[in-house]
Amino acid sequence: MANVVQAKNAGSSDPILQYVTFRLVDETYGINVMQVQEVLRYSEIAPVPGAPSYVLGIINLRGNVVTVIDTRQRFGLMNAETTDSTRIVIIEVEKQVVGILVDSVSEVVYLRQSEIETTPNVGNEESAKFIQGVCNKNDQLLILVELNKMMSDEEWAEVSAL
Amino acid sequence: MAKSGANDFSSPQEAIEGYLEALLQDVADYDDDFDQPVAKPIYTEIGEKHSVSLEGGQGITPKAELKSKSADERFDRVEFAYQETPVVVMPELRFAEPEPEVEIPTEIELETVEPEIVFAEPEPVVEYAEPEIEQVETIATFETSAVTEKIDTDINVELAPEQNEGWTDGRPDWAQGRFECLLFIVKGLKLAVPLAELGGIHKLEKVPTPLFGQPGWFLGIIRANARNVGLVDTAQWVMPERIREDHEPNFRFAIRIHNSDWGLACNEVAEAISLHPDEVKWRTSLGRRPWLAGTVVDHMCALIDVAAFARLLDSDKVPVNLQELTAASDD
Repeated sequence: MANVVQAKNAGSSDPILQYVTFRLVDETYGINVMQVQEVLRYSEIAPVPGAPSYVLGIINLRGNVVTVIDTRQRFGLMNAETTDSTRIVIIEVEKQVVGILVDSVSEVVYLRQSEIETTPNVGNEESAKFIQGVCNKNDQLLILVELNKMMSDEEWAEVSAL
Repeated sequence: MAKSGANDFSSPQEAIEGYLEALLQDVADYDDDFDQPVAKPIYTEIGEKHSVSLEGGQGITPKAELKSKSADERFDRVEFAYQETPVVVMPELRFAEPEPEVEIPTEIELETVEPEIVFAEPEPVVEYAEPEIEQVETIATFETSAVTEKIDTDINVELAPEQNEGWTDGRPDWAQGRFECLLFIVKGLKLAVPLAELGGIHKLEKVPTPLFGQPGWFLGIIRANARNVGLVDTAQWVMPERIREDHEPNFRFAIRIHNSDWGLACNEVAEAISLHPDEVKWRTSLGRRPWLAGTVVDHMCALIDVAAFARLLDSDKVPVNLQELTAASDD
């Protein structure tokens, strides 16, 4: 499928992009599919003493230790209990493999670059920078998240040191 | 000889300069040309002095040239004089010898050249500008309390032209004559927006999509007319002092600002009214409510300058915490 998309994008000034969508609270967010490695069911997350507040802990992924980020905390949202729909999305950002905890994973959507609209940015909080744009899809507003900006360089270094 | 009469001058100054050059040229050449049968300048004394150069190639048909707005009558007078026989011309040639020519340049230098030097040096203006900058820097460095006032004043002064954009004669452009307004209600407060700057009214059937990291007065994004509109909690802007912790933005309508991606949330939409500009008490100073165009006493409502509001929201100066801003202003 990725090859099909690439073929469609060849020579196109309005490329088609793929986003994996997930839900947090009542909103739907999208992240670039190229940064998603896999989606896991929720499993026990081992807390790490002394870890930053945005780190939930670590999991064992086929023998590899993966740090799980508290996405709700990062986005400034209220905490919630895990459910059957809770997922850990394994992503690769800044050459690091980490997991983000989300309420549920929905689907993969195809968006044209031209469909992505900028959002009013009137906030001065760091989290406001995570928003890449919004897109109206199926009568629903999809908030696209820029994972690279989800943490600063120092924070990424902090995560890698865990 | 008689070069002045051959030039076209675009200004009196150039005319005078040309006149002087011609005179000086005449003076310089006078001795050499004196023997030739050509014209020599003479002067009339009717308020001003004008050169009259005579070109008597044959010594018979003198021609007079005058440089002045009122030269015609003198021209006539001179011409009339020269219409007499060449016998009359000869004495004039004698009177036009160096003596009067030497006197005239000194008179004109006193009248024209000196004022030019005075006005041609604008440097003093630049010198006045520098102390102002130094004064601001000095205040900002040493007086903490005065700095805030000074900066606030400066910001208001800087913002004035921007926020008063679209205003003429102390009122918005759309209010130069009679204009229509839509009344709407926000938390019991009646507000008015000019129909001229109204983009649309949308019923809020879905909860706005919130964006994380945004201030409390930003309710989220709604989809209206195939565009994303940022919805503003109007109550927090209009009456931040009345907003409490339990404030619920249960708005039913969004009033979209014309040519903008912003909308004002409101509880009720009332009727449209027609207003005469004199019925509005227009804002005279910006204060901390640049979105307020004025107040309408007859209807007990505030008239919103929606264009200024949209500009403020789009600017990087938009406040995040309105309550804190209000409290700071009150202090």
